[in-house]
Amino acid sequence: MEEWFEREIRRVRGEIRRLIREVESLFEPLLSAESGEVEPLYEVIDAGDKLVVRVDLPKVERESIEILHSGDRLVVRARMREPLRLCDVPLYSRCEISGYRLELELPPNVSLEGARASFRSGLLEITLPKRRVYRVKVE
Amino acid sequence: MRDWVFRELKEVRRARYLIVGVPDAGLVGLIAATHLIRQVDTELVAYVDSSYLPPVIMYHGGRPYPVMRVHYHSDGGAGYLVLVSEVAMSASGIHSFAQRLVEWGQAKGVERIIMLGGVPSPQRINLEKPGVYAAGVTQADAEFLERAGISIFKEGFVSGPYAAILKECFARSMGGVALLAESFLNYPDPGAAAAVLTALSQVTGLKVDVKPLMEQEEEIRARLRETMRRTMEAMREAGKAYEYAVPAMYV
Repeated sequence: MEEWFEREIRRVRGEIRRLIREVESLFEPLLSAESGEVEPLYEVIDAGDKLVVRVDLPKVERESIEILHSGDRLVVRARMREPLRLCDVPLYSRCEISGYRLELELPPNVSLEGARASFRSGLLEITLPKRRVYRVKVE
Repeated sequence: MRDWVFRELKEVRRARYLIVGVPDAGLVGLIAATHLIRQVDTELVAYVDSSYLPPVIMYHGGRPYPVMRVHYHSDGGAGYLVLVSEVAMSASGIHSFAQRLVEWGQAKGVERIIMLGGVPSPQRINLEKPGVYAAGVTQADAEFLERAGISIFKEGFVSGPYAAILKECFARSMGGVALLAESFLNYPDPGAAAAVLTALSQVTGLKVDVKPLMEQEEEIRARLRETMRRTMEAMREAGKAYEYAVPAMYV
């Protein structure tokens, strides 16, 4: 009974998170156009003992990429080498897109110690090792 | 009203090929078809309407510009119809779209439908020149591809709108070929679009300069970020993940 209840709570929480993400994504272009920073396309891959975060950063030089970690958040910011002007599109006409900002909530089992990042062909790849799991023997 | 309506803006001449580029993996089809229309001398001849398309109308040069359009290029009489869509269609409309497209193509004397797209490759980042595979329908398609030296897609799944068009061509014994370049799944991929256009030149003889596409690669990726995001949502519904699967008959 308890197990069923916990599973159901987890499912409902997951569904609420998905709905929040969906609503946020609907308004994201409007909000980001004002700040000049847009959320880049990205993916998070669970590769067994590590987590790989891949971020598409076209029009960016390696030197302008900032990767910050605070608490359980990973923040990636990058400035474009020249702003993206979309003057013909009314939504973007009065603002320029000058960079990217991505903020991700990291799962508790990943560590920034030993993390690596590479940037190739406009694609940033951050590899975050997972913390080791210790097994305690029950006597 | 039928599910999909082809509205002809002028008399649509007969054409040998119907080229299709719709948003899919890496937006390869959309980028390639848009570049093709810009590079060769084309005229807008028709557009496609359906309740399966999102309720959007695009403006270009101050005038309405349909999101799913058909352009015509004569190329010395061979005749090319190029269908391009700016938006992904809903998964539930894919089958009726394929039926209507093939039916319309046949009415225009089309010998072969050529679809431009991407096949997601996890190794794409390591590939400077993505390979192109072709999925054909008839024996004549296989010979057509062999003559051009294009690798034939032998095993695996093709999913989404192109799968439905290939199935419809198969049912009607009509020529149908999907040219699929190894591409990113969820990032706009002009490099893969250049690869499919090069393959298109090889199979049909139509000359397309892909250099401008490569020169503007980063600009295109930055501009199509939002379109890619919306397309990903439609692709999730259309069973795109099947392309990573190995068919059970080979297990």
